[in-house]
Amino acid sequence: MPLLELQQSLISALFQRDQLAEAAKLVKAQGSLSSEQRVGIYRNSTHGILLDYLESLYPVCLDLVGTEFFGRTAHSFMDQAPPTSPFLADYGAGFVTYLAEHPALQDMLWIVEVAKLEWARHAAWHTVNQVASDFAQLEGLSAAQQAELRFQLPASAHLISSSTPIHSIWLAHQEEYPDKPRLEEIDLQEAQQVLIFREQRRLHQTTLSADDWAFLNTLQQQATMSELAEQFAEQLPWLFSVAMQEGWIYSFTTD
Amino acid sequence: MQNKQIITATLMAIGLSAALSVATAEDQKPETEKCAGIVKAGMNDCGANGHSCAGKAAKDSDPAEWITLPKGTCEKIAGGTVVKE
Repeated sequence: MPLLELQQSLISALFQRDQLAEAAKLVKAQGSLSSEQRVGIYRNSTHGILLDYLESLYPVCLDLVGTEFFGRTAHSFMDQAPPTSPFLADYGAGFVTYLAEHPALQDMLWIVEVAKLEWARHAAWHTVNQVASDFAQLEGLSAAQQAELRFQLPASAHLISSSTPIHSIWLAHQEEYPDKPRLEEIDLQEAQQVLIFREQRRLHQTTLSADDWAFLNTLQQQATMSELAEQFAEQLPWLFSVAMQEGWIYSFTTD
Repeated sequence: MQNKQIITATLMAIGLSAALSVATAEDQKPETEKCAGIVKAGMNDCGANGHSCAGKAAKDSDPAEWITLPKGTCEKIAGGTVVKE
């Protein structure tokens, strides 16, 4: 049997329980272990590692739905959407959609919103570093170039607009915050806009005012300085001041 | 205000904020050193000792595992050795 077929057969057995017997035909039995049991060891260990990983990725969801439900859902997710990248950190984005479609969560979709936030934190943490612009160079630009300026948020930035207070729910599950809100006191109907980004080895997560949210969203859609001036008028210098000081704007382009 | 005036005012605001954040970043950037021999299992900062990444140290106070500390701290800790870059 060619190596590729052998590998594919084993992968099928790892993520599809009904393929286990097929792969076991390629494996010898030894001692008290049948060939199926020996392939099963690989299946269990792969699932175990991925479960640990998903639990570390979605700790607040895990708290909210409980170990048993999380485990069952995670195992069926793995079988439906096994990893396709050799880099483990790429895995798990689809878990959010999987939760969103889960029949048991249809009345608790706010939990899915929290999962979105947790994935954004993970993705922001694993974003490749980028080079920041030297803003002193803005001084030398002509008026025409100034009007065409576009600004970028950090590459790690995730802007999430949620119909549920995801930041407060997340905070309520953090042990190290002494003044954290209590989950039962949070109004689940309150909308929140959240920005997540990484600066060096620090992950920032903050709620945004409606004005800051609208501004950053427009910035992220690559509006030019002249379009920004049109949209935000006198507010613009102030919006930029806040965004620059908070580290929300990382670079600019004049093209 | 005309668009042109808004843009001029905005660029001034960006210039001022950029200058401010550079100054703050420089003030805050602490000098660090790698300190070995004092790390709890699983709390190391990065690759060494035959494993690839942070959090993989298998036992407490392994002399080959390190964490990043503010410069000058390591020599004050019993068992700590500064790792030469």
